[in-house]
Amino acid sequence: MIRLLRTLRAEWTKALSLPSIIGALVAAIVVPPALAVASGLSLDPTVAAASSFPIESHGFETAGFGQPLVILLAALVAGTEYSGGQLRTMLLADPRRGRVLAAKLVVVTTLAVFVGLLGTTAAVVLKHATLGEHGLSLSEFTAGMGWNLIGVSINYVLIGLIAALLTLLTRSIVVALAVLVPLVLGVTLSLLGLAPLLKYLPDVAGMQLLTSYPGVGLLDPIPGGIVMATWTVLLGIAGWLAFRARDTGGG
Amino acid sequence: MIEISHLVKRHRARTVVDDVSFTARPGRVTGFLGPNGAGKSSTLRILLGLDRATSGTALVDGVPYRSLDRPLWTVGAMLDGPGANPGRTARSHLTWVAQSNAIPRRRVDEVLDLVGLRDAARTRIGRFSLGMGQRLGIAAALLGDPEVLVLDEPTNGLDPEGIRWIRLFLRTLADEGRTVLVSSHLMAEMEKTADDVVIIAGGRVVAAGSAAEVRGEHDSVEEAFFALTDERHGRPAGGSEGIAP
Repeated sequence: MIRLLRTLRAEWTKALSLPSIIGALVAAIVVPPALAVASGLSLDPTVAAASSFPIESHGFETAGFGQPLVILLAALVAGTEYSGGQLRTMLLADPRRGRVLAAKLVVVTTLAVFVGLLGTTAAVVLKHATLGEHGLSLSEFTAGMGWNLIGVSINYVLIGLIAALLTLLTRSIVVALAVLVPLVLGVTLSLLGLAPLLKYLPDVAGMQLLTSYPGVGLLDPIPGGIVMATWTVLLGIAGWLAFRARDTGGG
Repeated sequence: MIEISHLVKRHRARTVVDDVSFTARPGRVTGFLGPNGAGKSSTLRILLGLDRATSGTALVDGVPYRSLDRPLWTVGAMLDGPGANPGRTARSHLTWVAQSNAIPRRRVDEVLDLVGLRDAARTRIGRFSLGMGQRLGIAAALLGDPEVLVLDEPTNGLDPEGIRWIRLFLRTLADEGRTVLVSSHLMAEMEKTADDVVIIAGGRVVAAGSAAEVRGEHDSVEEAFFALTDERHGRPAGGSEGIAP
């Protein structure tokens, strides 16, 4: 256990001492609230009040834009290991590969929770503030909104782990980004009408954890989250098997 | 003390390390010499737990590297440059390496001083020259003040001054009683530094012993190497032209 804590401490220092990772972290926290403010200011309040958009969901609609940044963040945390042969140094420092992998995934999880809680809370609070009297005041926030906040964090953790594991499996940040970012930006969602089975893909399954998308035929938040978590576990097993067996000399 | 015993590594049908055995002792610089592709790096990677052997053993102080709890306190290593992400500063690279093995933070500045990189501590590694990179790799290897040092081609790409610095540095480390195993494809260069020599070619050890023993009646270790490999390839001994096994 103490050995894991040492490796974890090293992983933290690694994550927080690279400008690219810090940049992605800041962007992931700042972009959703900024979009929330922009959308709040551009919304005609009388229309907003009259529309069918549930008032509790204000702010959460920006969570989908945090996703690609969480993917970037996680891919960087995993993928910068392959830059300059750093992984070799890591495995010299801790030759137990399971521990190295576990520490990496703990860092990704923690960062994703942090981004989810901080960025989404800011987005929701700011959105309602910009809506003025048509929004909710802080004291009017509901338990449902709290659950939604947790849902976003779970979604971020799972998509972050998927991105990190995919990066590890392919040893390439670019491949992970090229596969995942178009997915979360709506490619699969737009094909859902043609192929309803696509709702079981990892990016689509957990979508309603972010906010409700009524009428599209998506899985409900909890079953969707379970499907997404299953994907994550399967990728985790594949990642562990590949990482354990691989010779690391060249990389 | 490093003990390599009947080590074999195969990549599919190709045997890159073929029954390699040798020992590197405390207080001595052991030169692990051979042309590029002879199996030096493969042997060292197995020794350091990065690759798995097909068969045989490679032990540090009697145990495999992977079973060491805090390996950097026992073994310091540099393989193929510093192994550092170019986006980080030298100090933050050494800091995370130290933290991973619960090495006190003050050691970071100590090793930066030792290798002469104190002024570059806050410089991003991507802006380092080749020589600075090698020094950073050696600094990381020294963090845990280990009794055993394993350096793969530490003089690669260095200018004469850098090569001289490494040579003197290795001598000092061995004189302090440490086991120093250093590989090179430049035999003439290592001959001035190494107390013991292990020569490998085509995955097999062709000669091992003190530098004087390996040299034998030849003028240099390099001459001895060419003589040995010529015999192995059924060519007349003595000529040194065009040998690249």
